[in-house]
Amino acid sequence: MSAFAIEADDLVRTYRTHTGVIRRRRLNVEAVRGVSFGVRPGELFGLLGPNGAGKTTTIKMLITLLLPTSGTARVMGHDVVKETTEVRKRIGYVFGGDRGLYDRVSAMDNLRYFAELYGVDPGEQKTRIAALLELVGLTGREQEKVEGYSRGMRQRLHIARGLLHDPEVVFLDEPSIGLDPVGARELRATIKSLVEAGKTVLLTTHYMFEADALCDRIAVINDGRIVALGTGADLKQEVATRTIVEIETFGVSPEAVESLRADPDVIAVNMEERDQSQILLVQSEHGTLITQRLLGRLGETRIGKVVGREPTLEDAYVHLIATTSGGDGAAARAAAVSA
Amino acid sequence: MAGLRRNARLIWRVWVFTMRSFLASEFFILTAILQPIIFASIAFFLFQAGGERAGEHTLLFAALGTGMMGVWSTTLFGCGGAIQWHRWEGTLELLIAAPSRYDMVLLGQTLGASTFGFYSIGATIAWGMLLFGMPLNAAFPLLLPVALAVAILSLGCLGMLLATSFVLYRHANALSNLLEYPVWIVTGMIVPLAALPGWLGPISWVLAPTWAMEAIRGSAIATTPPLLAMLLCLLLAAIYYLLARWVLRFVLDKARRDATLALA
Amino acid sequence: MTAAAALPALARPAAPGTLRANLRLFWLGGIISYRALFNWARPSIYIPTLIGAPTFQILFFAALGTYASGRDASFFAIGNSVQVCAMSGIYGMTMAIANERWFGTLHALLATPASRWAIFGGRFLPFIANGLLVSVYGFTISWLFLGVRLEPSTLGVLALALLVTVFSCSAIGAVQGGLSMRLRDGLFGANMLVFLFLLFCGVNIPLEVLPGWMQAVSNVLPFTHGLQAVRGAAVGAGLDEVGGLILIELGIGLAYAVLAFGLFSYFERSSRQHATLDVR
Repeated sequence: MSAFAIEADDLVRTYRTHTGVIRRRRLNVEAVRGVSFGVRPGELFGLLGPNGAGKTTTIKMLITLLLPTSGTARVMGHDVVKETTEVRKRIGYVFGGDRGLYDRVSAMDNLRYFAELYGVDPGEQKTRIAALLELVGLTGREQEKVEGYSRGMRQRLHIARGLLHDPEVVFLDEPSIGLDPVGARELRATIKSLVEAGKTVLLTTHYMFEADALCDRIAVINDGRIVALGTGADLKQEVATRTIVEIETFGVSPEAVESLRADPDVIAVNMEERDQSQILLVQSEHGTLITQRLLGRLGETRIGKVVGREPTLEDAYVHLIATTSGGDGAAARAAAVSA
Repeated sequence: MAGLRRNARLIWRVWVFTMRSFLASEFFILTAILQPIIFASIAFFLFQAGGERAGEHTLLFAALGTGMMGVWSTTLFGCGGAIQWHRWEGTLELLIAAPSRYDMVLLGQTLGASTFGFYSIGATIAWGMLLFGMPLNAAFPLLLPVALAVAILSLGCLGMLLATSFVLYRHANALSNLLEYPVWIVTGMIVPLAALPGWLGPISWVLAPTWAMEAIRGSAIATTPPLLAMLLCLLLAAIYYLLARWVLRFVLDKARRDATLALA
Repeated sequence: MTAAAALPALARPAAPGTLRANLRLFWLGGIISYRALFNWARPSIYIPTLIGAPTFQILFFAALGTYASGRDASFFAIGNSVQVCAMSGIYGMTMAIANERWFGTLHALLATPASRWAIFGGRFLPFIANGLLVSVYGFTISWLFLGVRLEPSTLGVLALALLVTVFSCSAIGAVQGGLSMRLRDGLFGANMLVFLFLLFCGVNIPLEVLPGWMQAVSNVLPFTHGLQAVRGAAVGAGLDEVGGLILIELGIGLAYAVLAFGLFSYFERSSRQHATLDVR
């Protein structure tokens, strides 16, 4: 009996698509290129990465909706390819977005239907549904048709649906997409309570603060590969000795940015575009000691605010993504910190 | 005068736009070509099975009738469909609130829909000639296209009158489903009114497509040119148009006052 | 929201795949999915589309048929009264499956351990019941407005033939629904099917009038044999005379049902291989 609730072993998933109209060429898109990790029972595990990194593809393989091109995965000890039904019995699947519910009928009917699909004992369905509605705060609204539900209400209904059969493992795929801050905060509280109840939770997200706040461990996935794996603290350790100087500029030229990068004490420069300005995030060992020199390198560029601060998980993440993007050959940092 | 030119241009633009968007949609291949061809086949087989009852012009009669049925279908589903589509896209409110006159837009849409029906008549005639050996010899060949044009205009105006009620009704497509067969029956498109219960007569006289069908049949088959039918058709078309404008103004006013328009 | 509320565990674990669970999914699940997926379930749409339109269809073809071919109105009235079940069997079954894509619920459905037989089988029944209703209504209209009289002593046989025909029509509707899981416009194909049934299968045109190839096609489609049985029973033929036809119709229906189920299974498997169903 495996020590892990979820195990992925060198999962690969390739898609075949076509390009061109005149001369159709077969293209192999490698969405997932060898992903391995293990999630212990009762752990809240985060899969973090930018859009298109392979998060959804990975989760789809784990919940049996996609077959891996190669590699294996097990959930609660059952192989996702060979023991599909056993896996499906033990997992709940919650995804974000507006779709995925039967709009024309009530929330109650949606839950009753999925209760039948999951084989929830008929004698318990009523109480179970009532308890779930209570948990997600939809009591009293269950007879309304889902087409009238707000985004936040739909998300809560998704969660209730995913828990009907009391699964041991819950997969949440970008559950807070499109939620307002209050809704997102309530969602996170619910997710935390799931783990407190002893469930294993795997969460995909591209909001790093969410991963940092919730997850016991985080895997950062980029371009189909895991580029870092560990607790939030471990990942921040990557950038811990550094400081970040944030420089707000108005119309900075590429040459000026290169000049910054060329500075011997500068480790990395990442740029964020705002409406009228750009924020340069300069990572270095010496931070504010070299601010004068950095500003000098920017020359004639118009400068706004200059702030020196500690690195956050976001900085670690941005740095990881920047250094591991761009296909094969990029420095793939599989810094799997043993845990 | 400038207003007239502007309105004419608006109608024309919407007309062309509607026709082009129909050409791109497979639903209209279904409604404008496939459905009339299937109904034409049914009619051809039935008439052939009738033995001596079938006369020299019977197949042409059937082809024209089922072609006109197609024109009505495209008009009906074009109007209902366009409004419904605008509603889903959220552009219905924008159209109504726009400075251009919405009744002109509606007229352009319905004319586009009924003009698209030209394809139906072409399809049924071609089908009859190719597969059922239908001879194409019209009694008044020069009048036939004129009769067809008058028919399409009058059906467009009837469509406009219907469309004003579709603006009110949230499930316009359901009404469209309901109105296909009845109009085919009552206007005597494929079964002459003489063969139908007498009480339908008065109803049919106020429906322009009845006269339109008379005009087309007359151009193809009759011994005297069907000029009276064409005039009645045009007269009724004008009445529909005016009626539609009046109803539309009333409907929109009421909607603006009571916020009752199912605009979204 | 009650954060950190400990959810009570289920007293009895969920047991999908048992006979009891499958039967419940079949019956109760079938009804819920009917309401959820059938576009026309609301009265404001149901009445014009499933009551209004069939009424006029029957009257139209009765008028056209008698005028053009000289045959009795009851031939066309009976043919169309049976054919109108296609509104429910074909459009309905197509919607019941294609709309899963529309609502984006397909992948949530396929991620469950539920028996696929129970899921899709359960969607059949409400549409068969609906189809029966529409056809019975059609016969009522034929009786009221066209003076069509059915032989009372063989009404039971007629009802049986009708039931089997409605089943068989829903089965080909399920095939169309299965195709629409993968192909883009399910309702286009559904429309074509419904029109073709007006032309083939002896609904409006007696089979012997049709060219040989059209007769051959009709013989592998639903309606053809069941309709012949209905016509026979309407004038007094008993089970001994039309029983064979009813059996053939049942066989055709079962064949389409198996084909439909084969399509679902194939598409589901293929989607896991090639990510073809737009499961997001």
